[in-house]
Amino acid sequence: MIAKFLERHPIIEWLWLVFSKQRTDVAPDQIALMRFSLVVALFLLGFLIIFVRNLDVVFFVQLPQHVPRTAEKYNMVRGNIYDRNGQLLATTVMGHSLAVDPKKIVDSNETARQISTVFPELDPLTLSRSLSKDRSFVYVKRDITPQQLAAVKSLNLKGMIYEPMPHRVYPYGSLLSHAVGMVNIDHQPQSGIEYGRNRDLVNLDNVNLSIDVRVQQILYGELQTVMKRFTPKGAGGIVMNIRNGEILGLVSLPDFDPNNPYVPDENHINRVTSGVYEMGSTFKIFNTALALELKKLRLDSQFDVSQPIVIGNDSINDFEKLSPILTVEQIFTESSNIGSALISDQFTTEQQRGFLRSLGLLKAPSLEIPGVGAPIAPKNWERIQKITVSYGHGISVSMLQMAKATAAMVNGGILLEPSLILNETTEPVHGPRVISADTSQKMQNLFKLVVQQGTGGAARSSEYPIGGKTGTAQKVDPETRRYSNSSVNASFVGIFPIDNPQYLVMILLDDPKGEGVGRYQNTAGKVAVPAVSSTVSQIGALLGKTVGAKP
Amino acid sequence: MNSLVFNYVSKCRGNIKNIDIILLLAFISLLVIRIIANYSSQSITNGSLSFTSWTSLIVMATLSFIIIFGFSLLDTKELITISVILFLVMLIALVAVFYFPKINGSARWIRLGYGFGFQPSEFIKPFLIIILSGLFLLYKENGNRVPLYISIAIIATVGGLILFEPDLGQTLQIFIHWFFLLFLTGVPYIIVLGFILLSLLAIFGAYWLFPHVAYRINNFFDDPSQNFQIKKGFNAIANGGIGGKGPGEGASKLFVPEAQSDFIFAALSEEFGLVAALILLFVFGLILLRTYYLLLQHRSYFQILAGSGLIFMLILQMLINLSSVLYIIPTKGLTLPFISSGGSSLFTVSIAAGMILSLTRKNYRREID
Repeated sequence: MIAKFLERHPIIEWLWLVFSKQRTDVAPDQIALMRFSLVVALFLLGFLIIFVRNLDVVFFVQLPQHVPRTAEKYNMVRGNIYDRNGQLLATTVMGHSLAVDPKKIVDSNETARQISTVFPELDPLTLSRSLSKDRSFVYVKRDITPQQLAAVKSLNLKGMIYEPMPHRVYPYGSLLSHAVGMVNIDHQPQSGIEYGRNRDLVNLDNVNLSIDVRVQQILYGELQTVMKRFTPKGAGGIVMNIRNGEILGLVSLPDFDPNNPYVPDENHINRVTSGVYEMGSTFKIFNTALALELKKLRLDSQFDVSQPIVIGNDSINDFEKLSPILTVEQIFTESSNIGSALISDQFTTEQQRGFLRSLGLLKAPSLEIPGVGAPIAPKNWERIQKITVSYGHGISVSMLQMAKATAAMVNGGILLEPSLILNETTEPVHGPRVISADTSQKMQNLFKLVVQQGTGGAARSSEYPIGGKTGTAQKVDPETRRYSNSSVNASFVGIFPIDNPQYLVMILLDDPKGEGVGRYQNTAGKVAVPAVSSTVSQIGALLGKTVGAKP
Repeated sequence: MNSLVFNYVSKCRGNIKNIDIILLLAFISLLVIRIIANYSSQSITNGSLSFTSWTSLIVMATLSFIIIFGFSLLDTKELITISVILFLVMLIALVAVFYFPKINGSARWIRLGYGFGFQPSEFIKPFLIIILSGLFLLYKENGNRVPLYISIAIIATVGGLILFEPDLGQTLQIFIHWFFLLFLTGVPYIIVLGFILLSLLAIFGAYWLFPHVAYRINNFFDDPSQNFQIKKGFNAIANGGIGGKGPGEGASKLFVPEAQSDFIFAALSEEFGLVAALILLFVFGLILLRTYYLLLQHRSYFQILAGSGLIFMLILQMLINLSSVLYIIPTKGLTLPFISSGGSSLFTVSIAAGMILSLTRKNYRREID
């Protein structure tokens, strides 16, 4: 029946005529081969187009790293970060994100309820709403942990999509939070070396830090101890090689865990590099060095410190009553404000300002991480400012600046740039000379005396010979806008071994509370010096080899 | 009985000697590239691959070789008989898929348990090509229209079943394969033109009817830098440069969606560079030209139709895949023959390769003529 219809119907016959109209002079297999040849030729053209296009993509398509900023954020694979001994500080592993295909979900309420058993932070109602969207891909939660992944998989839900995504891991957690920094969920750098060396890292280059994890751990432990004992608002610590500027340890507390960084913003402040403080008496280092450098006085020059210095309505006093006549040496070791003011009368404000500028104390220093704070210096620099600056008030600088400038005072007089990147050469590092070697030698002796006879006495217990300078600066009370009587910054900048200076260890406590009753309980000598002393006792052994090897 | 077996074995021995060695080596080198490329796309940074992955890669390639070799020994009658049987099995399977749970919203898979499963719409293709070649031979030899009508009925049935899975891409492919063979029989060019217009119309229709097709096509004409998969693929290819990053060292490949299947070319390029890409192109080109050359050597009509149809299937799929990855045409979810990780795809092209080797054997008897 059908066959007959197909055979006989006139339309079919007409179609057939058109369809079957073909050459009869050529054998069918020749026709087939001719036509196959045509297709082969077209295919070869396809090969050619693909070949040319492949060359084009390899040679002319721009990679994201050549177009920074806009494309950078798509590059989620990064190089690793290591410490100076090759300890892994940051790396990228493959993790997963959880997404769903709402089209495959039958009961979005039930699915949402089950998912929220694994992620209690997700609201089942909101989740259920996004599970019923008219799309085929909706993120539930990005960057989930392997445990969460297993938990969701075990629910055996339909429509789940486990999207692989890279996951940045910081094996040491909060230990290096401020130095290494972190990236956000899109692997965009947020802080620390992750930000500062982003260009290298997105190019898949590894970065080796000058940080020594062991030193970092010791410093971290000491700072945690002082945080517990003296409950300051925060504390910072830095260990630096004063011969080449390498930073071996950098800790700022409170901190954050870059693996789970959702803590108050306060914890993300780097107190070593971005926080600026009135340093107080540690600034007497520069006051004394300048006077010595200008040869205006000798270490045994004497000053009468019995009377407070009165300027306008203010008077400058010493923290405790000292002997009426002090030598320069004693003014430094006993930390006399009146004495420092009198020393500062030996030079002009311009000389003071110029010297501080040459030490990099009047502008933000450079470091490989973002968030390096700029100092706050007096706008008008008259005699009163010269005097207050001489003992470290009226000028706020960061610990990093302090460490950098102090290093130059004791390393022979050369100003070196601090760095968080491993210095792989053994070549001596060069920098501008800021004081003579002779002045530097005198400063070393003064530092030593501070520990042997003065305010830094607590460091005598260290196993390694330390020198240094204490600083206890009154803080400005935010309510009264006047210097507070109880609230201070206490810091100690220590140098060891003081007879052949190699390393600087500085610790600062922001508003420590003293342990006992009395005025002295929260001073640097009580809270900062023991911490530095203990740190040196522990890291001295680690760095001992270096100490012996490098004269 | 013993003599029957003996005859069969000696016949096979004769057949082995007559297999075209260049084609066989070309297919084997594709299997080698397959292992390398899959190793590459599955391993992460440190280049380690678990034992099971290695085992499964090697087992798959070995199975594939056995299939190629097995099919290459078949004579015409055996080839046709086996094709008819397996075609019918696959036809049943095409109906059976509707009784299996849907995956990604379509019923394409037969699940055999223990993680094994296959796509009948893939497997049916080489058998369909053999059957259609046979029908067209009968149609041309006897001037009888019935085989042509049967071919239309078959293509409508198979195409209809696959369309209802739904799998638009495979339906279109099957239809194109049928028309290619018809084209070889010498239909007037006016009909060819009509078919091309009809295909364009079908693409437009798909654009209006199917959102995912519209999405892909829009994506192609939109700013290419916004197309995630293409961009990641490009990154991987460009990142590989000329010599590649080395096995397991690729980084961009981790972000290429479908880096193991449709976009495996990107993973291969990143780790082994332009060199590997060109070797791959060369091997496929060699297979095309060698088959073409062998089919020119006084083959029977059936051999020409079936051989051309099978090589057309392999090369077209490869060209579409590479064009998608290189952003010459909109992304089409099509695997790269022999290289992409999936088993259904691999065994299908292996069957086709074996059939090509069988059809181009030097001693292939012109018994169908």
